[in-house]
Amino acid sequence: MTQNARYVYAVIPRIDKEDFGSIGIGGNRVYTIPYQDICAVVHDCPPEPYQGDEATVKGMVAVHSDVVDAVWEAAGSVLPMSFDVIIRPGEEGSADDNVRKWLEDEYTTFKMRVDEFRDKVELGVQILWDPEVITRRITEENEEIKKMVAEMATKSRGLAYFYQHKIAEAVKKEMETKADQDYRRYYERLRGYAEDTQVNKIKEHPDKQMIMNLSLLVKRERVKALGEVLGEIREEEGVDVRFTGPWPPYTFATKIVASGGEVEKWGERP
Amino acid sequence: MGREAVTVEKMPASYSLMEVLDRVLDRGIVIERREVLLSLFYIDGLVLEERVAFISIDTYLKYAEAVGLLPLEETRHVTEYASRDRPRAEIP
Repeated sequence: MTQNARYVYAVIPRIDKEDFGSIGIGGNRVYTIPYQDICAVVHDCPPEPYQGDEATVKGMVAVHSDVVDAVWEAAGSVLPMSFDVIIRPGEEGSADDNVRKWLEDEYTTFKMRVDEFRDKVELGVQILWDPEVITRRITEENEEIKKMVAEMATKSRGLAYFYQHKIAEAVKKEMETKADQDYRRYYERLRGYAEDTQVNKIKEHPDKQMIMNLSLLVKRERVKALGEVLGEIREEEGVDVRFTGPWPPYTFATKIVASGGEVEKWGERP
Repeated sequence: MGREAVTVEKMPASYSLMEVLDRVLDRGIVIERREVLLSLFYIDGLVLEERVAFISIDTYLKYAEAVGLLPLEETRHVTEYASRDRPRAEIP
């Protein structure tokens, strides 16, 4: 099939290196298309989306991620594209023309962001509770709940059942309050280390309760200090911290959306 | 504070494929332009289903079980994603 479209991995500052070799999806050669002092990182492809079964797509996504990592390292800054963004030829010009036109149209934004993201990394911070430890802490510390547990011990089987529900309800409410308070406390503590923050959805975890899922855009030289604060948070009983990165700024690049025009697409972003 | 810092640094710096998928599929720049072919392809049930878990029923049930108040009425379905065998650079 004709390879007249361009799969775009990223926008980076223009560097001497123009060819990254056959590191792309499907072993395609990854190279740059420059415009002034920025460039798009692409490979040649048919004007069709990449798709496949789950394993295939997972593999392609992993390669996309590796390419973004490689060009990030080479260029010192990167605006990562989402998976499967393909620029095709138009009626007036080739795909290369369209890539250049795109860079030209968005130049001001791209240039600003490329400069902004230099020497910064994205970090993922997830704060998790051990539900058993936290509930134990609540039952030990909350006077009202302590009282109810003591009373339950003296009750008949039927009444005890009623108490069980009452206690569970009180614990649930107290946990929600505590989660909210801790969330605010942690957020206030962490935000000072970041140039930008993004609050992500809480995710399920096999045996922990996630109470915070943050992306932070952090200057490289401040990563260690942030790690120290997270270390302190991790010392709290029943609290665990997941700290991942450094990532290319995927989360913060999401805020960059080129505007205008109709959108042609195969799938909807959820 | 050195000891605490080490605690985090010592954590496995590997990152799961799930986290890569989450970023590459759901984040990053998209293009909205007429002459551009924009394809957003998602895998069913992977990134689409972020399965928001609020502090509520799960925690309640876990509590109830933990202190022997109630039998665990519900088992959560949890999908594990294997860690990629490629550690992300150590933090920091």
